Amino acid sequence: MALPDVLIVDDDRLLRAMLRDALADVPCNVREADSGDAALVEIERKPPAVLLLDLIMPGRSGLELLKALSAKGLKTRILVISSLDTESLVQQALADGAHGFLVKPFHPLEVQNVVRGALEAAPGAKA
Amino acid sequence: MSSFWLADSDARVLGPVGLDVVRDLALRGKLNDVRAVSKDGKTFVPVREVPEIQQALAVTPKNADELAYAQADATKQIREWLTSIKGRSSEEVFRVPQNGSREAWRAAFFSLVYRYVPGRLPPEATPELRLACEDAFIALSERMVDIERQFRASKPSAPSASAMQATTLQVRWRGGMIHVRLILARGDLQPFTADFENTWKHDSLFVASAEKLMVNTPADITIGFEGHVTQIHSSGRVVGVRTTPAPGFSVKLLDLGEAQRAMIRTWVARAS
Repeated sequence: MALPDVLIVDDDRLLRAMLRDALADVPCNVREADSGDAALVEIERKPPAVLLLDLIMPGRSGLELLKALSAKGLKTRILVISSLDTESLVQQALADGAHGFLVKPFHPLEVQNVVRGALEAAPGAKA
Repeated sequence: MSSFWLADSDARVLGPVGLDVVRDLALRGKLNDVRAVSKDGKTFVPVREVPEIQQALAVTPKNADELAYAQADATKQIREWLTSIKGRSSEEVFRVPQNGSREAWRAAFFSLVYRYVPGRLPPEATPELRLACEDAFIALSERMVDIERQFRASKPSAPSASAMQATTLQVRWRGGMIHVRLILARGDLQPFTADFENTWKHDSLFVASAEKLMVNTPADITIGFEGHVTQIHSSGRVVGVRTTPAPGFSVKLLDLGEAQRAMIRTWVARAS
């Protein structure tokens, strides 16, 4: 059976590498996008089961991407990863369609844990 | 309600967010690099041209006295808590029964360690508070490493403890840069001290390798520490190359945060 896809969307190359490393023990196929627009292309190609999303990016921001994906009605589980963890912004992200909010700096085990949980909750990524 | 897009000096954008979100973020000191604002996500203008945003960004968290008092109090509480958990079992500290599942242990660990992550501290945090958080973070992480090891040991295919005791090093070229993966055995501080001009105090690392490199070669570094789940990832530049007495090169780590420096500092202190 094919492994589920996890798409990392972050403009920071090192952070993408850290997330990829953190997911090394999780049975999944990790893909990357360095911007909101690149993420949309990746999602059109094949919707991932789980998406790890940064909020601040050049061009299309994370919140804009979140809204666009919600409008598409995808079953992808979206986990926001950000250091901007104020109550009001977390609430907005959840209201805009995020399924979870992970605070930077993160612990690799924390990432593994939430992604495993999201993969279990997302049997298929297609709408 | 009005929505705004905020752009930083790297043209990275946050938005759309309401004024309440901007105020909350500013109060927490999380918006220190806002350079331009947009009301439609397309046209950006300098912050000074949007008075409501300029006003929201000008909010300061607390006055200096209140902040100093709160930080001293927080430091005292963390120190007292650290003293109180000495000699207590992990079951008591994490409040998980001895037969708790791996997930239960991890959930308890994350909920507890979250408040001590040094990187979560505001820039104005005192060194005492920062150090107390680092100590709490390390104390909890070490306990969790032991717990994870117990779970791994229960699997027949798990690697033996002895297999983890030697420092391992991988050096390879990829994508125009040198990739170094170093897993340090407990007590090994040689990479942080071998090149006296480029030690851990200079955010530098010596890699004992015969690879022929030039100064300024870009590098991608991963450092693992035996007994710790935390790894350090950083980009870097080669700052020195030597052929004797042992060949190798020194790399300046360019992305170290305070938590990572604390990790290295603690490792060196324990190995010395």
